[in-house]
Amino acid sequence: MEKMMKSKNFLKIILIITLIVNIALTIVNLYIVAQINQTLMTLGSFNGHLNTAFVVRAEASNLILEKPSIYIMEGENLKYTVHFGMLNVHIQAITPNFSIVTVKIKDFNVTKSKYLDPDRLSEIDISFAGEPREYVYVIAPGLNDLNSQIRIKAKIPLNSENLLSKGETIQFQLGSLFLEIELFNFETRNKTVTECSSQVFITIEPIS
Amino acid sequence: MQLVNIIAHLKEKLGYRIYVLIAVLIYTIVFSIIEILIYQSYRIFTWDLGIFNQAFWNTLHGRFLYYTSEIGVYTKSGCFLAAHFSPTILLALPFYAVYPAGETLLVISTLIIAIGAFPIYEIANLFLKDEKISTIIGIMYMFYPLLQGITLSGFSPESFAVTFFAYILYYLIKTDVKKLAVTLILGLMTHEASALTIAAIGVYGLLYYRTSRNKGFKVSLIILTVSIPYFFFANYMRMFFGWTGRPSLWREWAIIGAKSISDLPLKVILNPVGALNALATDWVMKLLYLALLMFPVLFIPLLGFKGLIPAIPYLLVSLFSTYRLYYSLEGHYGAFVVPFVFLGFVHGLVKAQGKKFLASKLAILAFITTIIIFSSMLPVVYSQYRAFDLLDKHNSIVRSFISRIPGNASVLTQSNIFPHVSNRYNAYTIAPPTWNYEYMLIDKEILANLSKQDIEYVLLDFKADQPYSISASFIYIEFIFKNNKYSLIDASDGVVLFRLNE
Repeated sequence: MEKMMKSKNFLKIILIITLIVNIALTIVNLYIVAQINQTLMTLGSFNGHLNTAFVVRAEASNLILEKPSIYIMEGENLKYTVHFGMLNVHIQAITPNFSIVTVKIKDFNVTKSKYLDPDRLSEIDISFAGEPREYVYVIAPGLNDLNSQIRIKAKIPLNSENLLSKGETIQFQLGSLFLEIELFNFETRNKTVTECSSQVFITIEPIS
Repeated sequence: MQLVNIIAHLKEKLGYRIYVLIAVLIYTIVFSIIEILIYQSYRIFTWDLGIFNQAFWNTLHGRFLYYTSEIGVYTKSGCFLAAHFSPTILLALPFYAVYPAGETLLVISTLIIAIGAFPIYEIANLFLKDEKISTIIGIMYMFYPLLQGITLSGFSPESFAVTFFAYILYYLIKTDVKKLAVTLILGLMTHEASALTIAAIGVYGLLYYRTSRNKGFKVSLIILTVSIPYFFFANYMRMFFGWTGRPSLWREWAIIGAKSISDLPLKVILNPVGALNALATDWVMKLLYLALLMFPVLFIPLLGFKGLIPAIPYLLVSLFSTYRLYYSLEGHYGAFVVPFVFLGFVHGLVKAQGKKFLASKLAILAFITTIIIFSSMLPVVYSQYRAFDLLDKHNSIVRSFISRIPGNASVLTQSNIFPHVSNRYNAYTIAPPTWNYEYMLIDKEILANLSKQDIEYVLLDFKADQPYSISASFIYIEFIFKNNKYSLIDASDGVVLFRLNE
């Protein structure tokens, strides 16, 4: 009988402890939920205060155009060489709502060099490799950190009078590439345009 | 008071079946509501509802089971029967015709799945001769996690298959040949892959009846001999309805070198190393899957292994695959396993029935275990749907944007919104490009083809869950941006509506 009473009391104590622990954990839980909601509200109001989208930072790495991939000949003369290279563009943008970032080539300023055909400098063609004319990204509300890797194709008229001798490889500065970064906000329909530039270097070697 | 009288009258007439009936009704109501809430929160996607809604809607409007999302991928004609030969789903058409909407299909699907509890009850009662335990097993069937996986996967041919498998088993065990013939035909026509499972039901029947003089044995033999050629016939019918012949883009058995289920047995034999590699791939998840199949029923089906025989073809197909949905509790593929786990469970209990007390205790213990697993898994499962916030502002915005698209206009959207605009001939979508590289290429091809069609509206939700938000970006980049003939009509909270320039 006494044993039964003891076991009943023990059970009661366990139940009370469980109940207390549960109440305490529920309070902690509610507190955490309230804190999360508060943080979310603060974030929401922060996003609400932003009413324009803007690019905080736009930087492009140096572009190294690799050795020629294609040689275009005209008779026995070399007309163009085609080079490829990878350009890294780092964009930081803040937007209050979903927006579009487009990256396109705006301009290219050539630096004169003895290896380039001086009469055909205007024929230098630098574009995005493959299909796209522009690179497009959808960005979400808040701060967006975009690291865009863009493959570049360049068609270069080399100076056939100054071609390299066998075994020689040289890299020189081709010029500056200017990129236009446009940020379009779907909701406000506002556009903001930023520019950044990249120094372009080219590697050439003789036809093997 | 009247309700109590009706229940009392029904109990007199139906016996313990009345409890199964009540459970079926409750299950249908509760899970239909849950499904509709998930649907209304844009978390049921094209392949779980949209394609069926569009196929049924088009059937009612004179285009037999026509849908758009797999044209050129699996079907040349746009007929669903080219993708899967599943004429049984047409049973839902008269009910759909009453209220042609996605919600109707979700209710029908949930009801059909729940009805499977009746044959499970009857099978248990045939073997155990105990209405109380059979009722518990019938109700337990509905709490079984894998069955909820099928229920929460929207509408699919598998929703029909799971219940027809249970009925085929019941009529085979009861040797009610006429009803068996009807359910056999309907069961075979649920899905071309059902034929293999039904053939294995035939093997089970042969082992169960053993002697060739037995009527059940002969019937089992007929099931087996009908099912195998039917599998090839069903694939022929797919060709007839315009199947492109393209194997699944998921490349489920690529490690073994098999392209399809029919290819698999031979390739396993010819490439045993590949087969072992395939089995070993993701082996932890595969083991977990097997454990989760058995745990709610306390591994008792292993005692009555005979009952598990019809599940073997599917288990082999799934364990040799590298496609995770085949061996997870989510998705509708559980249809090929669930009834047989319960058949095995009943056989296992029969073995324990020597001590009748033990059998009933084991059944109750399994019931409690299933309920505990159900109640502990439920919050985890539903939290991912986040479907219960009825006043969610974002969903209201999506709804209001959809309402701005005229009912007869052509529309392109991502696959989680597609079911809501699929009540039309010319609604289009793409699979999430993140599924795999091949899907991405096909998406590009689909969007390039759609560019020639002058789609009138494009609705995108960049704020949707992944992978749908990625689909939205993909459609924007590959379709809107490239075509340059769409104007922005409105945008709010990541939802953007475009219209073709006039």
